[in-house]
Amino acid sequence: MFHRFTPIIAAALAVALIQLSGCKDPEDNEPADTFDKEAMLTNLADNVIMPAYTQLADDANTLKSAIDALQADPSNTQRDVAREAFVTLQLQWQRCAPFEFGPAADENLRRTANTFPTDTAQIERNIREGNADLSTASNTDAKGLPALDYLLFGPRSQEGDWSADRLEQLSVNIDLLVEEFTTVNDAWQNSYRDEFVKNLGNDVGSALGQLVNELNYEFELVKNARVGIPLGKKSLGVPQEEKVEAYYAERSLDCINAALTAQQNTFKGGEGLGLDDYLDHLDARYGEGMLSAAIVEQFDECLSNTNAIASTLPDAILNSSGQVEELHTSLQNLVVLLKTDMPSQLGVQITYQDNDGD
Amino acid sequence: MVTSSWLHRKLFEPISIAPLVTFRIVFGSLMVASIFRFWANGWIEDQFITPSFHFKYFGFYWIPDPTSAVIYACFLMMAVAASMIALGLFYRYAAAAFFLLFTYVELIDATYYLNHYYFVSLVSLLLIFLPAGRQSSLDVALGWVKPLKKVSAWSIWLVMFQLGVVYFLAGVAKLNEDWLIHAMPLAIWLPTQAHLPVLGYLMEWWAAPHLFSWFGALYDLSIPFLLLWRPTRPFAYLAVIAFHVMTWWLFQIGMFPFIMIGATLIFFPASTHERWQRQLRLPVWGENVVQESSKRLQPVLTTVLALYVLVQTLFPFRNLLYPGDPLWHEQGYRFGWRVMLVEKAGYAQFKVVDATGGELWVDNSEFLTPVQEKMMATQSDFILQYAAHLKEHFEAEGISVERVSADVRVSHNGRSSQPYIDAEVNLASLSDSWTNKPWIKPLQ
Repeated sequence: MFHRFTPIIAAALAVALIQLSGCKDPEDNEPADTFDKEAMLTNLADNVIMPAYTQLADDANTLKSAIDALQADPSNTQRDVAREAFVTLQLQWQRCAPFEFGPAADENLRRTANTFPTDTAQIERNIREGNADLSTASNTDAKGLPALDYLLFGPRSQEGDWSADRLEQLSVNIDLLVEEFTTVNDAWQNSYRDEFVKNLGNDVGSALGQLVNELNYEFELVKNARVGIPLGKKSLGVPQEEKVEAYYAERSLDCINAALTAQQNTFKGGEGLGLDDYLDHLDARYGEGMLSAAIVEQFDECLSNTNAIASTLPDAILNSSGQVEELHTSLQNLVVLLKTDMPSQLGVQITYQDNDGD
Repeated sequence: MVTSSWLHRKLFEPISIAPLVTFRIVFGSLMVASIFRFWANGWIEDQFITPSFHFKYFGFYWIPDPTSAVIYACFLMMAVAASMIALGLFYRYAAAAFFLLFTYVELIDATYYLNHYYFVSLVSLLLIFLPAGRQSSLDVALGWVKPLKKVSAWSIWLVMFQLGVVYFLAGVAKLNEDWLIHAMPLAIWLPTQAHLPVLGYLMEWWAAPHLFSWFGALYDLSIPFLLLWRPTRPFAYLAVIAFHVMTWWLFQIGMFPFIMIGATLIFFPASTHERWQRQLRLPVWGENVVQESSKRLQPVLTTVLALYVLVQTLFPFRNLLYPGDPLWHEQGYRFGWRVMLVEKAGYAQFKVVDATGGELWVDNSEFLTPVQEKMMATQSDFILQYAAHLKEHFEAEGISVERVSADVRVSHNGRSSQPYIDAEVNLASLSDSWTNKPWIKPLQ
């Protein structure tokens, strides 16, 4: 007889307990309506990710034209045109860097495009030996944006010392980037977008899982590679200011600003549905307020700490390290929100491996 | 003595071997499937070859890390041993080999601890001593062992007890405030499945996590008894299938649901098993041969069984000996059938300080895989092992390590992230033990 009444008793108990517990009262709880995850992913794909990649491919082509012109006329004027195009491309890269999944992961894009600090000795060797093959293992640290940074802004470029081989190395690097960026942009335009917006789970291979995990990965690169390491966090406090991103162009802080702004914008979904709305829908709290607001505010604090540094980043590291320490601390506080509070509220997985809930 | 002789009579009463035969075949086959699934997913590489460092269980620091050839050989031999268990070929040696290999693989890295792996280790240990290979097996067919029609009742009861423990203690573990009152962590997990067809809509319903939590607790606490009692058994088994299929669908829990669906068949009466085995044309040898058990050995066996039952019942409750919330500090947490109780994520920033006061911030991704990093940041024994590993690593690089400390923040069952340990404590000066770790901060 027991089995026949079990569900009834349990249901009655359930209703009673829900009333008693009171922590989820349907009356005053508006997130009862459903959240359209697909609409969020569609917004992110159409209004954040794809425009960023299209712009990236365009900016790479602009730099390629400028480098072609420099090859034809190695003057300071043409050099400055190329430099300007490079800075635009370097900053646009920051707006794509968090999306290292799907086509970008297939191309290993981050590694190819932006491994820094760059190996200048290897670049000089490539120039001397006329080496045009950047895919070899020895060139892992000697290609992409950091190589272009060195070639366009390094000491030889100041002197207008343009040998044919040096110009050729510039050309080989921008060709590589044009090819890679175009490939990734085309893949998003052709088929990956639809795959992305339909991939609605929360496992590590889902759109949300990849987005959250890669956003976090790129954010940690801001904290560690772009700020921490140059500040001496991995060298017992001894500054390694030459390890900043965009060292020769002296645009490290602009890169950090662009990276943080892009990451915040991804979190907010631009003007549309983003992770912030999803967290709000899930009623995710942080302390007294909403988690989404805490994350947006902490991004703002990181940005204002970045903007507060008046000199170049290497200069600040050597002469006013307190300001850089402050930036690093604010990044450290944000990484906690992004890597603990956000994923655990979203229930995002970091692996396909089996788990039993702990 | 009256009870004891009654107990003896009951324990050694001859009953049909058929349920044990089904169990042997089902368990062996599911293990073969599990091993191939694990292999095909590339997890041998991911879990045992890729990491440069492995977390160990307390007391098992000496377990050697395998080379890539050794670990693949282990899995190959495990698959062979599991097939031999299913076929009943050199059954006892196969069970022993499977137990040793499986347990060794589990002991390599505690990162991957799962309650159902522990369950598999225990069951394969028991199988060594159970006469499950004495009927419908190749050993019998080849005349290597004498066939049995009946075995002492304890051998089947022991398996039922083990299954009952898994369910019942998993139910007991759910009797906590987070689970019953706040419906945590299901209140986080269910809405993530809102996109699923049919059930998705239910997942978003405000009451769903509460209902799932309470039914889950009720299910775990009652199912062993409902399976034991004849009138409820068919309904209980339907509930077993429904429950496990549902959890398999909603969560990333691998083979466990199928292992439980297969294993709980043992609760069906011998006549049912005999019917199934006849339908499957499983050959049966011998005429009413009953397992002999020497009268002199019976008291010894009874004592051993009683001890096993006692340990299995009490050991999971050792967490009560530690102050604070065991779901937070996780001391005495493993090997206690605590499943699906916590959604948490942690972030651990380790700092190594040298003799001159220079501070080095550790990038965990240089030492750990993402899974290892996640597990380390929420488990205090891993934090200690990692600190010791960092000290060793940086001393080998010529740095005189004065202290290793860590700022660890953990978000636990929907709470805001909060400090998990005392960030000031020198972790390199501590070693693990079974005593309480006072440097774990209380849950706020």
